[in-house]
Amino acid sequence: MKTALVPISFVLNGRPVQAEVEPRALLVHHLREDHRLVGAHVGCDTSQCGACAVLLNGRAVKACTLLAVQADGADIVTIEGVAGPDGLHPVQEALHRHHGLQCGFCTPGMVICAIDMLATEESLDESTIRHGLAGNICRCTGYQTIVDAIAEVAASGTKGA
Amino acid sequence: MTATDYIGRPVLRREDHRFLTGGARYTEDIVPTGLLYTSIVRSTEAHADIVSIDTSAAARAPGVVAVFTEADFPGEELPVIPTDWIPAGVMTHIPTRYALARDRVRFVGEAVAIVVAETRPQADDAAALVAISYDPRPAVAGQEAALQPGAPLLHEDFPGNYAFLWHMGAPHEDYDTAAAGADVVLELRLENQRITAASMEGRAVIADYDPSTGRLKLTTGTQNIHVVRRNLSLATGIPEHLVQVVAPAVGGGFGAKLCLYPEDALLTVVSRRLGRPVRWAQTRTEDFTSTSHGRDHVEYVKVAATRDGKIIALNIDSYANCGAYISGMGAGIPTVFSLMASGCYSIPHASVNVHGCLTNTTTTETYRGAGRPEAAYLIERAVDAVAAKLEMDPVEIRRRNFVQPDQFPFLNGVGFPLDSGEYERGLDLALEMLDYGAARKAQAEARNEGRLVGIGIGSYVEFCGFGECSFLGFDRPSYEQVVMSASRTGKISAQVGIVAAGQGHETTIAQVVAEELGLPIDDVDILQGDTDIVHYGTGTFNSRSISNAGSGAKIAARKLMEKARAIAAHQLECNDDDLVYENATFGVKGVPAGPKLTFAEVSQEAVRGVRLPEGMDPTLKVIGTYKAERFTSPFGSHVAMVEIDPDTGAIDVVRYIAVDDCGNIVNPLLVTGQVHGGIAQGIGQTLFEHITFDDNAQPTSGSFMEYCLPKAHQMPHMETAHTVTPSPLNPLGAKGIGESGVIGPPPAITNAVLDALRPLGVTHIDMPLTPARVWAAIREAQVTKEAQAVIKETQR
Repeated sequence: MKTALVPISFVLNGRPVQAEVEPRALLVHHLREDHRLVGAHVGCDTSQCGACAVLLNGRAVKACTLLAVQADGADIVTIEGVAGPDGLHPVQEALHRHHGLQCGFCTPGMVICAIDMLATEESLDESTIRHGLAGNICRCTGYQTIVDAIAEVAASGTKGA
Repeated sequence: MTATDYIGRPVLRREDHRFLTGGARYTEDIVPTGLLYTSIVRSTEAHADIVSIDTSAAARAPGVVAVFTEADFPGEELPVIPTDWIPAGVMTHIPTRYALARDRVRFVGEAVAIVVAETRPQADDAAALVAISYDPRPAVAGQEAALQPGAPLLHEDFPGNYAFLWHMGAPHEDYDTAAAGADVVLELRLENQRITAASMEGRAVIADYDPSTGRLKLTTGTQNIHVVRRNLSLATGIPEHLVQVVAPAVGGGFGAKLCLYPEDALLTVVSRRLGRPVRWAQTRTEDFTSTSHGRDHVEYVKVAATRDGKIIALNIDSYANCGAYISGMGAGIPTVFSLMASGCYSIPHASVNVHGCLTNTTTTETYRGAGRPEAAYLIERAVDAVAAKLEMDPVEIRRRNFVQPDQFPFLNGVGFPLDSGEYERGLDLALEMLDYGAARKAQAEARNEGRLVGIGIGSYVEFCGFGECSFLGFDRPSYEQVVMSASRTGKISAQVGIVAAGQGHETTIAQVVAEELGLPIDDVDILQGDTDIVHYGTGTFNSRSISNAGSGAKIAARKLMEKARAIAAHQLECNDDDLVYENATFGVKGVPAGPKLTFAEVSQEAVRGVRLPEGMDPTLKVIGTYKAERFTSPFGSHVAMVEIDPDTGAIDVVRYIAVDDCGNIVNPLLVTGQVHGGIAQGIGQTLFEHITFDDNAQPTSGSFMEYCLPKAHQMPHMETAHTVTPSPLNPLGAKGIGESGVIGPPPAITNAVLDALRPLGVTHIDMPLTPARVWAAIREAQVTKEAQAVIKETQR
């Protein structure tokens, strides 16, 4: 079976990129295999765990649930593009301070999801944060320190990316 | 306290940056030159003879390099997967398990063929073209059904599907005599259901065999590189010294990543055959069917007590479901359950029989807690059942039976030694945090309003820090050896035989080393996870990393400092007694203005190797060995308060309090992290998680669509605290914390739920306590009550 490749172009971590992808290729595989950005992880195949999350036009999306062709024309930020030249993003700093990560496999997704929440939610209390994380599974931390970290960033007035 | 007193401080993790930025490299992120990708074709039958396998279409598919079945590895070329642990005296061998099924499959998910291709999608596409014809046999999933006469037989050399009978404690048949003076005798049947580790990173393997040297490099996210090296050598015939096993970043382990898996050996022989590196990475469904599960005991308990709540006899028959084969520690774990069966209590007669059973299911193995959660759940349910029968407060019955502090070291009911403990102190602290009196009052008020509120306790004691235990048949080292060296510039490298999967060894072990050497923590580097760097080790499991490797690191650092002092004294021309060491600098006592030598200068002299004391070897390189002669005994009490919605059966965990005693604490921040994560997994088992099979042994929980892991909004706010009872066994006084959290929730929450439901007549429930199960238990009790009322009415 020979499938015609589809040309796409999008902005990836601030730089324009072009690629030719199989129509069936998932965005997460495209990012990992073709761009060697392996910070987005595949944890479940069924869109439950959120380890693959990236920002698409500023909103968190599960890159295992999007086709690469759907990224055409979009602005994509992966975990590799979150920290700025001045150092870690406040969410990353807070997760570090609160011990909000252990094995680290879910962490990129947690950071991306938190940035989305901070940018889009009017106010973030513990309950909102917990429900906001419903699409991200962490098997190590029990979530409490992740919730504390996000709450701290929210309280400091930081807004998203 | 000086700047280098690191032990006991909440030092932030030094390893975090790479995980926060996407810089960490897990196995599936690594691409060696010439890498090929694989997809494994697995059995869709629970039990069947393989009639034929047609790989021709797959072999012709685009990008396919090769397709292999067992026929491609004739005779002994097909790896046989060894076990790590044959329980002493009760098993002579294990069922033969090949890396690819030969003639017959025995569970859904067993590997039958492997496709190798230039890309992963090509391998997956071609795998779908492999045609396997099966002749199905009857299958059995449950351990009790497997032991029935006439049940489908898995292995001809294991008649009746019976793998082993393991016994600990008093003679089983003495129970009646021991229970003769009892006022209460109860029998319980408890299910400790099958669950799974579900690490967020599934298993992945890269095998890279170099035909020119005969060396193999196996990269995989394992918790135990050395046992994988040993067993891979046994399985493939590659000499052990030519096998390098590397664990890069490990995305969670929790016990399920400890053993050699068939895929490790399979990828190795495929790489050897092709002369190219090959990679395999699980899908989540493959993780559910081919990674060993945990727990799965059916327990029959007899318990006898006197009127004043003293438990005098305990008999247990536990039926452990090992699955279709014996996984690495798959036979050992059910047996060690017996060590903790009498819990925190002094019970004169305790007797445990563990029956190992084979079924047409995925193998079972170590999973966080590994024997202790099964034991704690059992004894805590039994103790609560006795208390309920006697109408005694569950706190009071525990106080009356706890082993007392002055009894340590204590030989427990089954004859296993406990190192130290103060059980009542931990329980008291937990009750104080809850405000037990007020909570009981609130419960009474709630009951008056018709609400269902309950309070439950889960007290536990563990065995950790894997001690010498040949009596169990465990034939691997229980020591940890730490190789430590100082560079020319005075920086420290410590090679440790443990492997982190999120535990933070790069921080905690460095805290121990830096404090011992009086150096800044940034001067200490911890090396782990590569058998070419760390030649010996026993791995990360049984909460042993700090107690064993941490102690080894402390001993090594002490030796290194002794050598540094000898060089410094030689150079400064004084006796060792006259040395002072402050701020990483040696000087002479009473001569503050005298000559000084920094630690780095001493190390430089040691590396240069010229002006050293007579006969001394150059370099500051030492080996520190900590021998764990015995196990440590962490303990604690968890208390839960729940409210149940009578209309839906949904459980709200209103309070969750954990008081754990892991001995001395190296890093309180990371200890709390371990407790939190453990509690989440314990709550998962209690409320949500269950690996299930249908009547034909087909798995019915094969993804996160069917298997519910706790999410953030399903977790209560956890309240944690510690008592500190140092272990007398190791130089750190540490007991271990990795598994404590997971042990408490099943008994604490289940006891709380039964406490809430007992007024309705509910006396029993099995985990997971899903709303449907709770609702059904309430309903059943109501129906029984109504029926009894009708019978009474009729009799009148």
